[in-house]
Amino acid sequence: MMQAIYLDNAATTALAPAVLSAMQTQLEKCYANPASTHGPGRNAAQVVAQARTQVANLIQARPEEIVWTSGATEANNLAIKGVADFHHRQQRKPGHIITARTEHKAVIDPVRDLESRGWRVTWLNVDAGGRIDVPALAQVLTHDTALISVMHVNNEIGVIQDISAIARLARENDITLHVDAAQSLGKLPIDVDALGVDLLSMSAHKLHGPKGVGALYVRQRPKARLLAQIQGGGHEQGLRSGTLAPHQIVGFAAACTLAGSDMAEEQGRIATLRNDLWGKLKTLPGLIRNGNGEKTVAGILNISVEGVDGEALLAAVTGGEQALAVSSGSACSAARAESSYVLRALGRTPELAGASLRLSLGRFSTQADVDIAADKISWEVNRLRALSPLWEVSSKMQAAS
Amino acid sequence: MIYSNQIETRFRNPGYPGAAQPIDLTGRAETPGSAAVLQLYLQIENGRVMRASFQAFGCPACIAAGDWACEWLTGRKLVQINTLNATQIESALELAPAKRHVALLVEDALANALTNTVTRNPP
Amino acid sequence: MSIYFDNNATTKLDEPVLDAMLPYLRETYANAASLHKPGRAARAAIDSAREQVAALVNAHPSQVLFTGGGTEANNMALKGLAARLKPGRILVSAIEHPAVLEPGAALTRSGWQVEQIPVDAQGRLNLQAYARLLEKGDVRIVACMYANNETGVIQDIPAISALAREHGALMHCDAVQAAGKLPMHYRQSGAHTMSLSAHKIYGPKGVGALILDKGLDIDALLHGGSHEHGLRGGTENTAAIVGFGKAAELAVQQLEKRRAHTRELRDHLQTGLRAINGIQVFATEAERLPNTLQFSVPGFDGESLVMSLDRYYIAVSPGSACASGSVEPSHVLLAMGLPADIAKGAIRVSLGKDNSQDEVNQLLTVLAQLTQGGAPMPSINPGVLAG
Repeated sequence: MMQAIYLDNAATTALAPAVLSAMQTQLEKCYANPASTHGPGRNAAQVVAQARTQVANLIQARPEEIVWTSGATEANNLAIKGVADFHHRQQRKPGHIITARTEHKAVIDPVRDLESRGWRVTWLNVDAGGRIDVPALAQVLTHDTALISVMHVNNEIGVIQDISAIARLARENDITLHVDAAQSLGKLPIDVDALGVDLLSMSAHKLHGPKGVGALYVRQRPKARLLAQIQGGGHEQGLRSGTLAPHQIVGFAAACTLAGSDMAEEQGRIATLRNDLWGKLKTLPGLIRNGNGEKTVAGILNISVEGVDGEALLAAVTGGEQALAVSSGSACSAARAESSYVLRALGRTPELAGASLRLSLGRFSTQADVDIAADKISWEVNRLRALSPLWEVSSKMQAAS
Repeated sequence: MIYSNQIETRFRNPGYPGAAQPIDLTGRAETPGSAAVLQLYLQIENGRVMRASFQAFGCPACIAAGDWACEWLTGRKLVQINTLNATQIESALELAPAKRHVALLVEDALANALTNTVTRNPP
Repeated sequence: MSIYFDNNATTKLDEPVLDAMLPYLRETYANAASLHKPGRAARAAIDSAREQVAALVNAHPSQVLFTGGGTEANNMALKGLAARLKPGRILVSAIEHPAVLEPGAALTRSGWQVEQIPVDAQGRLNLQAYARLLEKGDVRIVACMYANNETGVIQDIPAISALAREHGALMHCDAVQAAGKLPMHYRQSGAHTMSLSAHKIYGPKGVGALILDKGLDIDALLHGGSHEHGLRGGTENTAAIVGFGKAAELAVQQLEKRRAHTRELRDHLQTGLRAINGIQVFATEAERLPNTLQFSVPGFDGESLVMSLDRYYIAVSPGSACASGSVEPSHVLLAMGLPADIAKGAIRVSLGKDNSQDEVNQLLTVLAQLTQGGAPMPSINPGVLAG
């Protein structure tokens, strides 16, 4: 069915076999509503409680600090709008939020929604490598800053932000810190206390768990204060209502346990593959690696290619023999073929931002995948350049200069 | 991204790539901002196109349009050439409305070629 | 093996539904927003599921917006519509599910006035009172459920919608319990928005839908990306959506069979309950869902009755099962004018396609024993005993 060489693990991942079998057991045998008080309902509740502990363990949190959601997007919405609503109710007016231009749409869009409701927003710039300048962040704090929302790892370029430093600033100024950890969960060790975050969004399907489930970590001490965004029955300590889906939750938990069991080895293996891929690709002229190469999560390589059209590049590598499944810019905005705002924030021209590929590796990526991908990309880039009336000229000009 | 079979095939494996020598006529067209560039090269014998080839920088539809045009041009009399119009190209390639500009690009490149004679280098 | 009579709380995943889901858990796992081939395969599966879910309520596929469940769909409808309107009055039926009542209550924070429409003793919306509330003016949104989760009482949605529309109000209908149990028609219902849930129709938990017209002015609840026309951010849960589609398709195909089967069992149960001293069945004169029966047993509160039946491996629900086993009296029965002690004693039996007459007979036998003191259970509410 899936014949393509799959290098789009930052968009979503295949279920790990252990995850699927945990889910299948629930789907086949355990179907009661965990909120029901009868026997089957209590069994389902027990399964959910066990899963809560497993997910909490991966981030060194307590089980009661985990709020199940339908995914990281909902977790981000709950964190951002929930904190804002609480602040608004306390202060009887909107306040100020700080976030970065390179955040995922699932952060940008709820923040924009607040902006339309009277909140002031500081959109932080990033450096050429994609990192936030922490001293610059300190400059924009105000007396009514209610929230700082920063992603742990960027979904397009894989750059890792200095969360601890940002957390120190937030703590000193009594500001709630939310971190979107959709791309870092299971890939970087996370200790919510050591990092100093108040709220942390998680997604299952980025670490070989199922789609449609995620969680928000909500710090108990000192208590992060936020208001529910989906009401109706008071599930999840009143923070998120709706019938829980035990099969999804169990799948998420199994994925967390698996990721926690071999994180160092597995991320080391993936980093080696990624470095090999870059090593092979960079022999092509006119290739630029996007993002800070050093402070980058193991699984992501983002490149811009000079001298080719973005749409043609993506069509070329994702079609034909040995098609690759890769993304151009962010998968989530890919339905509209616009050039990546993340890459433009790094200073890339719209053309180079458009002519970019994100290659993201996961647990099931192999050396063969890397070899095929490197060959395919090199071949297609050379072919498109040969076809272009502009490339010969510009490469001659470069050679001359 | 889903392309018509015509576009998919021609983009992946164009039949008329490059700047095939000798060249008697050549014409180039660009979209505003040079997001797409198409150049046609024609070899003329006895008032007929003996050989056509193209170079393109742009999306798959743009490359396919260049290729399709070369196929259409090959063997035709010069006097017939200006009957080629954008509508023909649109329907042949099943172009999406958002891609109509590539058909206009072919029209423009061809019009420019007809007025742009290249002096053959002596052999 | 336990007897499961709690099909309004959730249903067992149907085998063909699981079979339909598995390929999307195994092979076709790509992100449906991705442009590459595997991504497009996932997108195609979602598109066909959209058609199947549309058919469940005779809507157009473009009118189906997938959500993370019925609760999210209800929240989105109320808050999303309210966000685009000048704050005014919202009317909600007094017997709505908390998934409608609570987002309604949350809107009071943004200046909305939320009022409840009373129901009669049979749990039917009081149309005269409703009309009077509308005539006071400034009603922007009306919410009324298609069928009640506790009593099973079906409302006259076309009439309720028509009145709302006459007064320029938007109509939301929570159809989570009715879908798959009744023939449904989105357009004819007159509702502007309608919420559905997969796990009430033998589909998976964690997926639902909001049915709405494309042109409707509504705000997203979950912002983030351009999924679902920008109205619902988040990576699509392909497997669950495919499961929802399959469950909807089966519900349409087997609607009459399931209706007839559950109705027969329900009527058999109701007849049997009459023979047990003191049992009071609610809303018997109203038109009800074929599978639902709510009643109280004298000397028991609902919670202890559920626990007693649980020892016989029979799963029923005390009123509405929600977040926690709350011992609050059912707000639905209170709205029907029943005294609190009776309302507290209610339990709900909700039958499903896989239940049998033999199972119903077992329930009747156990209930007869319990009421005769054959298996004495202490009531957790002494007030009930005193009364």
